[in-house]
Amino acid sequence: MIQPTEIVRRRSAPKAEETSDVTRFRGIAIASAIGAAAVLVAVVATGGVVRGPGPLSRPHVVAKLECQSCHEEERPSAACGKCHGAHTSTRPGHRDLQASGELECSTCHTIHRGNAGVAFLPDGRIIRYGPGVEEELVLGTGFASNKTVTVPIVAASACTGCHDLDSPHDLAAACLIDGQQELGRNRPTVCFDEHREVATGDTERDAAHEAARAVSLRAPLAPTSGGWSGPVGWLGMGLLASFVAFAAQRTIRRRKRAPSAPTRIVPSDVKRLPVIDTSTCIGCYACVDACPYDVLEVRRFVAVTVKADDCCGLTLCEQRCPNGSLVVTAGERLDDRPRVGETLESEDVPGIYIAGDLSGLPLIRNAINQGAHAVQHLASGLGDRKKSELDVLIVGAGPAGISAALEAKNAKLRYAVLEQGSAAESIRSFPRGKLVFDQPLGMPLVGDLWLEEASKEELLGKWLRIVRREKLDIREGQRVVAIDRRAGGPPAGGFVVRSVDADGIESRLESRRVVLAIGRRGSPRKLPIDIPEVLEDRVHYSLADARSFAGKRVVVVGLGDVAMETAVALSRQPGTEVTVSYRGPEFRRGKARNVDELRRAVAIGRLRLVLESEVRHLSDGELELSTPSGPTRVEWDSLFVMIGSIPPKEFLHSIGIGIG
Amino acid sequence: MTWPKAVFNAPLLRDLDSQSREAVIAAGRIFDVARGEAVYREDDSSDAFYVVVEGAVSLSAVRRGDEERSTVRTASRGDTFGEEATLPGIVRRLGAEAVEDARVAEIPVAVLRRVMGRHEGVVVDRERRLLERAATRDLLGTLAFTRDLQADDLDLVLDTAVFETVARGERAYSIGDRADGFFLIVDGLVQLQTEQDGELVVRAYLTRGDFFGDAELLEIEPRRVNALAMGDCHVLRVPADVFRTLSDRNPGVAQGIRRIAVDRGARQAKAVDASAKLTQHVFKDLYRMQMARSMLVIDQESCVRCGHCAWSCAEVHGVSRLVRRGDKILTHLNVLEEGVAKPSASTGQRSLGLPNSCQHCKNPACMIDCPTGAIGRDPEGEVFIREDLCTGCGNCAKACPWENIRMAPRSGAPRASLSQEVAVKCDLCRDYEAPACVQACPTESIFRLEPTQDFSEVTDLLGEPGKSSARQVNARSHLFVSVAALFSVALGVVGWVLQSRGDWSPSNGAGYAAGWLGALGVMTLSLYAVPKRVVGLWMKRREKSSAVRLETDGLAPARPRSRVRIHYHVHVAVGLLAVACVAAHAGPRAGASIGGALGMAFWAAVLLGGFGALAYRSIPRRLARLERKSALPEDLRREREALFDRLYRSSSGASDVVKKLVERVLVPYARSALGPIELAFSGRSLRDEQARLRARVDEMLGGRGGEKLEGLDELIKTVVELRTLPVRRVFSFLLRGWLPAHMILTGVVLVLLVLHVGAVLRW
Repeated sequence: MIQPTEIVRRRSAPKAEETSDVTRFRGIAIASAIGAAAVLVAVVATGGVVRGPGPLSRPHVVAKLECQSCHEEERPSAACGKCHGAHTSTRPGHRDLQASGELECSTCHTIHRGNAGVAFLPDGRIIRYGPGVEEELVLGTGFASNKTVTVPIVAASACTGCHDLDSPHDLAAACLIDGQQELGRNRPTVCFDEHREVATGDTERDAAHEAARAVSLRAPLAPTSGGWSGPVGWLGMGLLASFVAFAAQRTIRRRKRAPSAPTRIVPSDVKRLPVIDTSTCIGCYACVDACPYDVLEVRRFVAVTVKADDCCGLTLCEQRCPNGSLVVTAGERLDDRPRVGETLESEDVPGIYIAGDLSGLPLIRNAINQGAHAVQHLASGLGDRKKSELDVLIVGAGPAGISAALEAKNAKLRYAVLEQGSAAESIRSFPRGKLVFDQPLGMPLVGDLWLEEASKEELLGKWLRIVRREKLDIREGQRVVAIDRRAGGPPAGGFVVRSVDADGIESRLESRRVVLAIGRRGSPRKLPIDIPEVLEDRVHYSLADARSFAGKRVVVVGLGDVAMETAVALSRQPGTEVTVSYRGPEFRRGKARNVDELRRAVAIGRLRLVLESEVRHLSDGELELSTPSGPTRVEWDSLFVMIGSIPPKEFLHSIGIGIG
Repeated sequence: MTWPKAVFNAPLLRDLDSQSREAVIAAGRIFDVARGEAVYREDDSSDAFYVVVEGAVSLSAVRRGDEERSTVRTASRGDTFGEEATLPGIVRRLGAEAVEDARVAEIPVAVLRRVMGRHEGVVVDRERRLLERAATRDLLGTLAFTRDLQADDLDLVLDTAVFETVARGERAYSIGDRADGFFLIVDGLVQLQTEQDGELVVRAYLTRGDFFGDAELLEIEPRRVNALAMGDCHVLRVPADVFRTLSDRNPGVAQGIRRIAVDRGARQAKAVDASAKLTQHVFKDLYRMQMARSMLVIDQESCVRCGHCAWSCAEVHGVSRLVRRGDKILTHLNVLEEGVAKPSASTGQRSLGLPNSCQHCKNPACMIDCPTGAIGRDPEGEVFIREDLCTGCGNCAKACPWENIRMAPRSGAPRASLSQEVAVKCDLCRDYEAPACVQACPTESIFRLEPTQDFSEVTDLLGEPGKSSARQVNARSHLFVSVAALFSVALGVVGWVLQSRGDWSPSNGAGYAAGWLGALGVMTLSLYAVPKRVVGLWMKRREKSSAVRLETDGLAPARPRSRVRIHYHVHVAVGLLAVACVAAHAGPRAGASIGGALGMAFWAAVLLGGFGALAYRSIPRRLARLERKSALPEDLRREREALFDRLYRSSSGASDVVKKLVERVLVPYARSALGPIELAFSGRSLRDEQARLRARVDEMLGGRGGEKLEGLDELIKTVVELRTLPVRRVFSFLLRGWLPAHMILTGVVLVLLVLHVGAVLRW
């Protein structure tokens, strides 16, 4: 069954990307040119070019001949006699040709290209050599001498200019060994009487010729390959150079990539509000989509501010506005957040940094950024570090705390995290399957903590895996009770942090700096009525798993994001009756998506919404709601109170940080 | 400029204030049409409506249920026409032709809507109703049965019909609902489903101009089917009692409607039946298929994943507007046989990748959402962005359902009034004769198609058969490569043997000549870089739009073909010949000289090239079998972790039986080291492998488990994908890894060749 896949209008515009398709050949041309140049250099440097038309034969190499030795003469063959003496052929035909200049020494002894032969060394080794190559033969010839004796072995191809070797009538055929026909023109010729009569009495020379004949029989072909080191070296140089060039270009390009735009980290301490010039606004939704709190909406093709109270003052909307129609203005001073500087250092107690929700911006991404940012900054101002104390102590292991710990580990600081519950407690308390939206969009992520749009379980799993993998020093179950200045406090001194564990045992840590990432949750705000003790375990302040409330009658108090998410999740359980009670006359805050979902649930009758109502009284079976039209009674099994939380004001005051 | 008063006497425009009139005049135009000339044709895309200043214009269409074209109405002096442009869809249902010399005023709908939108009050509502009513009248005019209606019957329908929007995935009605109306689809795609043994079964797909919901009306029964919107659907609902009144007064009407619906059902039955069984079936995103006018597809079975398409796009436009990543579909392509479009028998079912590239929707969401009108459309339907009007707000990029619009840095000097970004998307290289990507493909695997004409399954369902401009995919002409190969083997073997026997020598005779030929071959081979890298060589500036050419020269636009493919084949053929020449020149020699080094470098380059050519031929087919989506190599690198995440996430809510299966069977299966190798050589497809694993699990359970196995198939899909992942990575490495080395070696070969030739000539 094919169902349409859901298509939602995205809130961020996808960016053009440079895929490997486009970049894969970048730098190859240069690398290739550099490789080719390197080969050229290598060849020239090792004398590959001057080595000329081919390697000299072994005896000439042994004799340490140089180019001039022969090439001084106009006809190089004329030089042969200088060493070899008068060296005419014993055959009249050859002699005539030589006299007429048609035959030269190098006609048969192609001295640079095909010159081959065999050398018998005084130590008994036999070397078969070819052009530039030699090979030791293992065979007994019975020949021995106390000096090196060399016999050139000319290949039949030298004769083919004049002779027809395949004809039995040709004289040259007599110089070939039967049974070597398949070797074609590479067959060795064994008429060693070319230059002197046989049996002249020089018995050693004759014996050498006999031995050479045996060699021609057993190893008819001169070694041809070999001498790999030169070419392999050249190619190796070339390939290495191009590889290095390629890698270097990649690195340079990566370094050059522009750093992302600086992120605004610190919330403003004055009330801010977007103001829109309606005569130029084109109604493009850029600001609406950029706002993480749904402060803006487009009505009649123009953006308008609809939930001014929720404005966070981060100016994301202003940055996204394509034509400057939207400006964020400053208003009255806000005093419900601790005062911090640009580096997130508290202005009341220098040395204490404040990150996360506590700073006044309830966003996971922001918490991550602030945690990393604070540690980055404090690391640079530490000066001398002593082994006996921590560099930084992080209080709280939520998004900001974990991010700060990761950053501290990367900066090689001595750090510890104290957490009164367990790591990522705030994420754990999300309802099962809650989607964590990753907004504001276009806000870059600082630090290494992973964040993408994900379900609660996914996010928690990822984070716990990161904590485990990085072996972050998170001490769970440690509740911080006091933070005192030590040795005059920062910059030179530090703090003493006292904490108690679940058993009430107190411990003490000394640290140069403290990052407070305790969030704003503190304790949940309670209903201003007395709740009988017997009913207390039916009153909840958070929802872990909606499934356990299936079939119950539930009342949710509040209409913030948490309350709306809870109510919607509960209303999806089979047989659950959900009533939402809210003080105000209409939706005042919260994400548009949550508001829409709640409205839909109300519209199809899965959920009852009672506006302008307050819980007056609780009893076992019923609770009383006051409404404009008089009190109403509602039957209930469970009550969720989700009317926000009280910030940890007293704790902050005890440290010296003012709030509110 | 002033416009004749008569224009603003039209009921629609009568109440506009002077400022609004100025806006309308600024954006509109007045022009003359000669008798018999068309103002617009059916299926044209258009965004304007018209007022007749002088003369008369007739509107005509082939009415639904008719065979012949007939006149729907005639608009004379002072009348408006073309209001259907205000309906979603923006495709003409009727053609407009001047019946006598006429002068008309054209008013862009977007301008009118904006002008009205900024004013509040009754006037706007009244005008909106007028527009709707006019549009509805023309729309109903395209249905044959309305001809038989009396004027007051038609008025009754017009008075009571309401426009409704059904969002994608929502139902116009469900089984058992009270039958409350008769629906006409103005735009969109509707699926009719019934229930059978608790499972939903698709009965029909309906599109623009189709209607539904009539069957239960006359019998006064509850709904027997679900009507599900596959995309955002705009429907016109005629209330039930109005419909009944009409059919009482005109007994023929209801029967006519029924007959059309039954015909359609019979025609679709087969295609619909086949669709349910395949997850990669082309119907999976039928909405997209119906919407696309020019969809870029990559034949995954011949695409060698070189990415040259994206590269050449970036070369032409600065930023690549094509990202080779996206869904994959299986479909038969139509080919033209004796003038009739038929599913191609020779190519069979193809797997086509749908990369991120604009598909030039018939009803573009981006264009509707653009606040400045920067997105325009050619009469042929090409959607493009005017960069100087684009403010970079990103609204279009957010609206495009398939992420085919991207935000790129704006080129040129920054201006304060404009954002630093600009929206970019494929415009079919409208400044050039043909798109760069299609022309650059070395294997001719990427091309543009219109699904409703070219995909046979979609044609069966929604298209107009016979209209197809279909093509033969990848008609291969490897002839000269084969000839070169034969020749090369013969010459190479002979030369090699003669060289090794010493009968030939590199320095004289045939061996020497072969050397020169080889050198020539190597130079020719390296010239392949020119057509491949210098895009400007074959990207021709466009001088006339294809519509203009059609009118002036009578030439239908030719389908763009690959320009690089022929060069690729020549490269391979020359490569084969060069190998033979070098074998005949040097034989088995490898000395310590420059010649020896040249030989080594040459053979290394040839081996890599030969490997590449073989990989190009054999791997894509195997790779296509193992892909669920088309992905880039860098995506594959991240995929493993994502898939394991998905596996654990979807097993978290499953029953204990399934959890145990995951732990004992599926995870070991996914982690197996040898499994992927076996899978690569087995020739099984993803689907075969899933079925095989499922069978193994079933055998293991021996019938136990029952309904506790819910969610198992999804998990099996994931682990099979995990198993294919290493194979896909290796395959894509084999396809792409050799080329950089081949190119670098070519540089080395060229340098050594110069040295070698220099040495030979000198000595």
